[in-house]
Amino acid sequence: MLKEISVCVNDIEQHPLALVAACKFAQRYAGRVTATYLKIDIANMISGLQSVSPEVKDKAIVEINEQHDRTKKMFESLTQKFDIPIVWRSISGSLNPVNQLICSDIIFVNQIEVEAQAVSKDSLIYRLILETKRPILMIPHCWDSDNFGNKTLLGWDNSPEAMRAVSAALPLLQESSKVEVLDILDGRIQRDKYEGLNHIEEYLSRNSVLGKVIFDDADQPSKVPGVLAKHCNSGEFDLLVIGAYGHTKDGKLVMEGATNQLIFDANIPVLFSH
Amino acid sequence: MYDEIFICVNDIELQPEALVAASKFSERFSAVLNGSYLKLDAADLWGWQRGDPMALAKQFLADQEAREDLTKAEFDALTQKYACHTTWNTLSKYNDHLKRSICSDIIFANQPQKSDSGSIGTLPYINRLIIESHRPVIMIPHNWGEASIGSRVLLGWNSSPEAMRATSDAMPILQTADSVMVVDIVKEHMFQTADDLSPGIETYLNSKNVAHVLSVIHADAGRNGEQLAFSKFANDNDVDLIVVGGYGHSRLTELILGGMTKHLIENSTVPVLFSH
Repeated sequence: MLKEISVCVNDIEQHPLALVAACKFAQRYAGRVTATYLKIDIANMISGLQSVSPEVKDKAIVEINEQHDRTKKMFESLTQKFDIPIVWRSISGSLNPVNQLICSDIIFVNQIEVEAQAVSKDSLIYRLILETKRPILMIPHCWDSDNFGNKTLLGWDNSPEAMRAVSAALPLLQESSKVEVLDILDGRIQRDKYEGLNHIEEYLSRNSVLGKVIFDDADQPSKVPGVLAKHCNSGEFDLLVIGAYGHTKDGKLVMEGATNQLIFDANIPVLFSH
Repeated sequence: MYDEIFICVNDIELQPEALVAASKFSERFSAVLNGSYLKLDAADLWGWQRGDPMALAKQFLADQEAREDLTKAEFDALTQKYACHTTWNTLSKYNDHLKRSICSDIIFANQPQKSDSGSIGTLPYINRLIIESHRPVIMIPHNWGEASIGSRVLLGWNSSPEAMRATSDAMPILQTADSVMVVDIVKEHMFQTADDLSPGIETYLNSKNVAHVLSVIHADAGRNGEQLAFSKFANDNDVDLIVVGGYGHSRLTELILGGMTKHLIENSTVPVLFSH
């Protein structure tokens, strides 16, 4: 069950949605939210810089502490209306933030900044998906609902990552009033449309998930991300569940384009599993 | 929860241990046990036409039919001793077989025979299951002897995503175990920062009502030091299941330099749950 919920709260002043969604989710599943704040370790940061005067250093410490206090206050104001266990953790920014979030059932994160030009390898969402290997629920900036997972789109490509996503999202899928399994043919291989799909259909049916399979054709691999985004943003669904950044046998990332496009363009919450 | 168990049954005549363990597991968790038989596709024998007598190919196919019937009978005989619901699949391509294994909650497999431990490129079947299915795989050793599985559990923890996956995948077992020992191995003379050591695992297990004891054990700095220390701990504490992340390092590193996964696949005398 998805009861231990993690969220990084450094950006809640600008983007409070992931925290709010995490609290609503915890309320729904009687879960617990752990909010992690990464506090800049100023001593560590400027220890090597001889030219920094004590005045500048003191000023920086004051600013960092003020930022921390402002975020904590905002956190308390956002979460006080939820009757759920919530833990605030303030950890040193010199620790690996990704390691600190591993021990959870699901991690909530905001969609990438609108101003970002590309999904950088340093961006939080990219690192969370690839490095924690936990299910990541991305909340888009335009999200204004109370809930998600009533109408779920499941992106299926027979990959282990897709199955990981199904497995992680099972409690949500079981409660969805509508589940559609989308298989996008990329035109590269004339794949039998039912190859592997009968197995996932059986699996879903055994787990009391009534899913309907839909197909679309992207003509060529480069068009798959666009077709996927079109279905995701069609207005018919309020959650997308999908495997992210799959690997080929030699370790090369596949579906990078599709995952990156969703990180930018999705207008509904997306559950990624790597 | 474990609702669907997958097992490849081609080797049950020689090694029935994994099927027996899977049947017991299926009974315990009321899960469906899917026996999957991998059969050579007749189309794969087209190559025979180029030089080998087709009569031999036909004989091979006929033998294969008989073997499948025999295996199915053996599967039915073994599983009917347990109150488990079973299904049977005959699959003719390795890829179909893998796709079938992906759509399950847990996979059971036998420990490979020493003769199966091939060189790079010819990985034993269990390695492929761990690496390619990304589902949790329980390996049953040769000398298992039908003992209980999951009463005394050893969880190998190294703060990696794979270890966390294994923890999460084994949760129904951990929650019903009599005893769970979490072991973090620290290699002598290795520098470790605070966040390398078990961040949050205790809190996580407590939140799931898993009573556990966390131990930090020290291993020799030499080659295989961690593997030997871990195995010694397992033996000394009489565990009946080991839970670990599988292939946390690159496969090449594991294959050339060795590693915990390779060590356990080759040497474990108790069942091991691997999650990659």
